[in-house]
Amino acid sequence: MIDKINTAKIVACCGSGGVGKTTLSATLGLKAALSGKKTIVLTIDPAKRLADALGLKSMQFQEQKVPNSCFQQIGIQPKGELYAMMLDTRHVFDRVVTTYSSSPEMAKNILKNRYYQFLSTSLAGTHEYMAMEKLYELYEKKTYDLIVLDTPPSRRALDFLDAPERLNDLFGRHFFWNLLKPYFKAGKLGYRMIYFVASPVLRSISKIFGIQALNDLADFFYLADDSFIDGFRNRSKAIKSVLSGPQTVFIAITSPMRAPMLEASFFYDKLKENNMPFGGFIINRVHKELPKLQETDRDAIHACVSSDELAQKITQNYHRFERLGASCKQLIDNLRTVTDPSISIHQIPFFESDVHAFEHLFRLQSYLK
Amino acid sequence: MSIFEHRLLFVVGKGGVGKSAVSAALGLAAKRLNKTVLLVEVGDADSLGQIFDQGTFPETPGKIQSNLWGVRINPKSVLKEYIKLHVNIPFIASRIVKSKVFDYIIAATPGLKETKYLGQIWRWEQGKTLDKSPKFDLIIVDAPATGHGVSLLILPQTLINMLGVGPIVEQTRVVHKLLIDPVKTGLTLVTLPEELPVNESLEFKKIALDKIHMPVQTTLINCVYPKDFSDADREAIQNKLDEVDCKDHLKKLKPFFELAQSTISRRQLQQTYIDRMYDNQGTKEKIIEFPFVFSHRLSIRDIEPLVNILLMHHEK
Repeated sequence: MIDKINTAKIVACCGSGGVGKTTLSATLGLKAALSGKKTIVLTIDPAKRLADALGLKSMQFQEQKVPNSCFQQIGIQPKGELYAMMLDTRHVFDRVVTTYSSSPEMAKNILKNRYYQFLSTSLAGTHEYMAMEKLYELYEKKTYDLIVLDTPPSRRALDFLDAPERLNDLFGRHFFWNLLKPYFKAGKLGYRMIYFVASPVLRSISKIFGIQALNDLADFFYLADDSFIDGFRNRSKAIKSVLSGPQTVFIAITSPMRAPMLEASFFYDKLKENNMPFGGFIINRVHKELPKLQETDRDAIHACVSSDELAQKITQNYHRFERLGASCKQLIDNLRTVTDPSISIHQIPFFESDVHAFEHLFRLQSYLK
Repeated sequence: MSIFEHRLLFVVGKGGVGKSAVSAALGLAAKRLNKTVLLVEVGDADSLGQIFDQGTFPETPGKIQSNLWGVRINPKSVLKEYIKLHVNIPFIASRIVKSKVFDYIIAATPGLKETKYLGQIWRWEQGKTLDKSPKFDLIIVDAPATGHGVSLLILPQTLINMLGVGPIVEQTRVVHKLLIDPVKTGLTLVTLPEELPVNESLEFKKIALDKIHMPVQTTLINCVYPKDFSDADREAIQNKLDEVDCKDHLKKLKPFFELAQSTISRRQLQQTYIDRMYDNQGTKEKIIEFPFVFSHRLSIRDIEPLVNILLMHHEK
């Protein structure tokens, strides 16, 4: 895995929600920085304690350097540099609008539009799209040797890959655009009504959905002229091509539980199907397989501990973790049988405490070889 | 009131906290109380189906066990159904459904899909569906992860504000009324005794109360380690560990004592997060702790203890 990351420019960490993606993205970033790369970790809504661990101010949305004091704490002099950046969807979206608007006037009107405000915060795929947007911007600037992307949490790890496509669809539908263009360009409400009433399909749609919604939508497209739409569309295409190129490597992050494991292997299949470069699996919080408790051990525990009750508690506790370890192993073995033998599977053990200090990240990276 | 007296339960929580296992346990428990239950999965998810070894749930309610049904809501087919119901001329209706404008509007109107999910759930609650499913006593919705869960529940309001008037708004109002009815609808939050899930849960509870007007009625703290060891046990184990270090013939027992010690400290750490949940308990909120399931495979057998705990709380 690490050799694949060494030759990549972008590492995208994917996985279902709650598996520790943000922490492991930071860990991969740290690993690369230690090996001499100027690395940036792009993350969405990190845990406040993780931000603290990296010495970052949590409410700032620009590139921040992880201070040397963090490395000094653990007595390490990194060969490279580590940066991190937190993304705020609305913030990035607003910047896209400012960039592609043909005049400041237009930008101002779009930002004020009611439909835009819904679009930028609640439309499915906007978070994913914005992560991609920022990723592309950083990639184009070429100031970093490696960008590690912590993808937005989603039940389906693959969702984010389709996000540019989905938004592209939204803006790129010529037929829709052409169909409604006279309506949009008519400008005045009266004209719009006439145009609507003239088409039976549109008339029915407007009856069901309500005319207000279509007006907001129309206003948005009316404001956003062709160059805006084209800019947006071209950008989506460029992002998609960078993500599917050889400079990008995808890592599947999962926990050893049934649902996220299935998700991870589904993700792997999809990448394979699309000929996209896969870096390997990282399985987080693994309970290791325990040697079976023998009769002689049980007797020895009872002999050693004066209270039989306590001895029983100790063996019961051990049995539980024996079962848990066995279930983890079984799930990981299952994953092995459905993946290519050349694919690396890294296991990170379960730690008793939450990972929230820089030294913990340093400890985690030692498991990734 | 008991959680099983509601007609509709929304199970929400951060990704990875075990919403599906909890939904399944709720369903199995309700079934034992002789209720006819519908388990609902939203969108592309299939983790509930996996627990019941069913793969993916069907798009119309399918029987999983006696009195227990499962369904996966697909927003697009729900919308198609809706258009066909509302446009009187079949020719126009099918043209709309096939038109690209229709696809576009689904994609571009925030909240439309989500409102349709909710509308479909409402129809089940009312027993007003055209499919052959029975009248359900309890409908359990395994909602998308909290961020999305919030949007699912807040969207009826958003949509009413955005669309203003029209048949969709009228239907949305009816659905909204059902959602904010605290007797019919119960909001159930699942969390873990860990830093991030607890933070997110406390945030969600505030939003649910202030913005969605659906206070969390039940919080389930999942994966709580057993509290087997007393303070005296802890001391005894620490002493044994010190002793084992000095005596060669006892060395091989070290892993057993260490594991016991680690369970104790994990449980202590969890307690600080459990306490935070109780410190922020709402006036009518019930908190139930679920034990850690010592298997990551999560089959129906594994969640049996959770079912029993729910039934115990019901009898209280």
